[in-house]
This record gives sequence, C-alpha cells and structure tokens, in this order.
Amino acid sequence: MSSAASTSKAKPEEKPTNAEEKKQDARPHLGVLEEDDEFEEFAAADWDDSQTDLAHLGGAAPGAAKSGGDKLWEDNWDDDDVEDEFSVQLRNELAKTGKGGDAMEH
Amino acid sequence: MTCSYVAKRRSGDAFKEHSTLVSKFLGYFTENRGWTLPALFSILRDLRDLAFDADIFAKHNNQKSECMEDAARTIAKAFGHCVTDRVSPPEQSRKWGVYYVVGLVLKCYFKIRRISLSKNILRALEANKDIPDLSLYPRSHQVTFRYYLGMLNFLNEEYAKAEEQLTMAFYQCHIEAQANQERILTYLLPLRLLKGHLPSNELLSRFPVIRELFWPFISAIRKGDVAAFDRALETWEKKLLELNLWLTLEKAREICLRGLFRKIYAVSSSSSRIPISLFHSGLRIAGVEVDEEETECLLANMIFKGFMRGYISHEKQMVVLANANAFPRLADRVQPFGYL
Repeated sequence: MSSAASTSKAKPEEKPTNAEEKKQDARPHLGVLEEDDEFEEFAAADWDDSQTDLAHLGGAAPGAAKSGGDKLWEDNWDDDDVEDEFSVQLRNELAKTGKGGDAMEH
Repeated sequence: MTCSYVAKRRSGDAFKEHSTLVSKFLGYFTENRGWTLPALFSILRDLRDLAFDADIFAKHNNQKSECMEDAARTIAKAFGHCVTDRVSPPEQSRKWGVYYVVGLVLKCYFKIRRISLSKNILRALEANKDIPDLSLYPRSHQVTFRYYLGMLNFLNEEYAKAEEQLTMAFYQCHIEAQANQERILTYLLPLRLLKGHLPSNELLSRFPVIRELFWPFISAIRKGDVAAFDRALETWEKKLLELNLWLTLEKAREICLRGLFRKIYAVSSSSSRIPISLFHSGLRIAGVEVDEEETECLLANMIFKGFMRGYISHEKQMVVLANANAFPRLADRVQPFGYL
C-alpha cells in the first residue's frame, strides 16, 4: 500500500480503518444471519449471464481475484509498511535488546 | 380440501390431505412426459411448505410431528419417478425435473438436520449416468443444487469441493436474489479467506450483512493483527457456532498469523536469518502470549504448510529464510486447503 506516504510522516497517521476497529468491538447485532434462514425459491426459473455476477468478469474465471480480472476479490494485500504502531514497537524492542543483527540498520 | 384445512388453521390435516393429492398425482405423473413437471414442482413445493407449517404448529402445541420427514420421503419418491423415465424422448424427459426435486429433498433434510440422509439421493444421482449435464438445466435448478452440494461438502470439511460448488452457485445466482447470494457468501467467504483471497470493498458494500459479520476478521488479516482476530472469534463465537463457521474461521487464524510473521520479517529488513526470539517478541508485542518453544512450534508449522520458505536451526534458535520469496503469495499455494 502507501508505504512511501506513511514513512514521510513522523507518526503513523490515523488510518480510516480505526472507525472499523471500533465497530468490531461493538456487540454483534444478533439476527443478521440466522442459522434457520433457508435458501429461497427463485422468482424466475432461468436467466442469462447478464443478470449474474458473471457479467462483470469479461471472460475471467469466477473468483480469480483482481489480478485475474475479478474485481470482487483481492489476492494480494501484503505491504511493506514498517511504520505502523506494531512495527515501531518491535523495532524499539530490537534496539533495546540489541537482537536481530542487521535489523538495526533500518 | 387442503385449502379448507389451511383456512381452518389445521395445518397437520392440510399436510395429510395434500400428501394424498401428491401421491395421486405421482401415479399420473409416471404415465406422462416432462410437460407435467411444472405441476409437479408446484405441488411438491406446496407439500414442503405445508409440512413446514404443520411441524411448527405441532411444536407450538407441544405435539410430535414428523411432516417434514414425510415430505422428504414423498419428494424423494418423486425424484425416483423423474430419474426412471426411460420412454420419453430426451427433450421431453421427466429427467429435466431431477435437479429441482433433489434441491427440494436436500432442503427438507437440512431443515430436519438429517443431512446424512443426503448421501443416498446423491449416490442415486451419480449412479444414473444418463441424466443430462447439470449445466443444461435452468439456472434456478443449478444454483440451488450447487448451494446444497457445496454446503454438504463444507460440513464434511471437503473445502476444495465446497469452494468450487459455492463459487459456481454465487456467480450463476440472479443478482436480485440478494438473500440467496448472501447465504452462499456466508460459506464461500471463509473458504476464500483460507485460500488467500479477501473480498473487495465493492463486494462487501453490496452485502452489508456479510460485511458486519466478517469485517473484523478481514481487517485483522489485512493487518496481521492476531490479537484482533482472536477478539473477533470471541465476540462472534455464538453466532459462528450457530452457523457452523467457527471451525473454518479458527483455521483462517493461520492466514492472520502469517501476516504477523511477515511483518516481523519486514521490520528486520527482510533478513534471511531471524532469531526465534525476535518472532517471540513480535508475538508478545502483538498481544499473543506464547512462550519461546511454542513460537518455534508455530514457525515450524508455518514452514511446513508452505506459508514461509526456509528452515529452523534449533541449536542456533534461528530461522533461516529463503533469499527470494520467503513469504510466497497466499494465493499461489498449490493446495491451499491441503494442510488444514
């Protein structure tokens, strides 16, 4: 992701995901997905590709992820952002204990 | 008769009356060709719905009622009558009813939680090689059948098969059948996580209900935040157990752990030699309380399962990682469901 942008700042900035973090601590709203929900009868018997999620694929394999032309899934979220809170803490720890050899150069 | 019983709220009697009608119809059905299928579908659907009502009504009055079991038996009989059509010309065959009827039977079995019964009917499907290919049936039949087949695979922990069926079900489903797509995604999404595919924001924004349940896990995986993942497992435990999803998400924790280890690797400037103690410190900072031996064990597992490439030098307490591609892309693993 934007490792260049975040390294240019002294402190890791507040990321928009913080709002979501709060959300995850909220109590689950029970009653969203229910185990007793049934697979419903379809209103129509048959339909063609244009009325399905095959339509946006343009020939890509379903579920291939963005790299394969399916915008509904991502198969690469690895980033080398080492300025987030965790990484900074870990680096400080390294500096303290002097462990980790060449990690100190960073 | 059925209607009058329904009107009088005698759902048990309504069910019995309708069962009689269905068995009379089945007699007629076997004498005729595929044009009678729409009528068959309609009365079988009603039969199942009436059984549903009758069982609820009986339960409400503390009575025992096995209408759904009866309905499943009757519908399975209808399945037999579809499969055994040996006289009608191919395009007018009753075989064109096979998958719709199987879908209904499976729906009954799931309702009464007797999914082990599904084996018989699936075996019968397989044994009859002259049934037209599933892809030639109407989409509604295909999607329903694949959903239930995928669910059975899922519950049997045959994840590769489950992912295949549910993927097809999802992509062939009508986009306006939101509840059904949601239902498919509930089980497809965790499988995709295990495979190393995260849902895009676009997908999640279309299904807020899915987003609510899975977001904490997805966000934790993105950040390699194992402690947040564990909190999410705890917060949603009850719901996940109800939905039979707990085990799968617990397995997805490894995907999150891999992210954490990868971060530790990034912090140590992608060095190819990292002391186990550094991973141990990393885990501690991330809020995961394990001792050093356990850390070594976690690392050994990660290497064994192909999440990391390298080996552990036990006497030096050092992880030696491959110079290139030490953390292969998750999606590149040959058998993502191989070592769960």
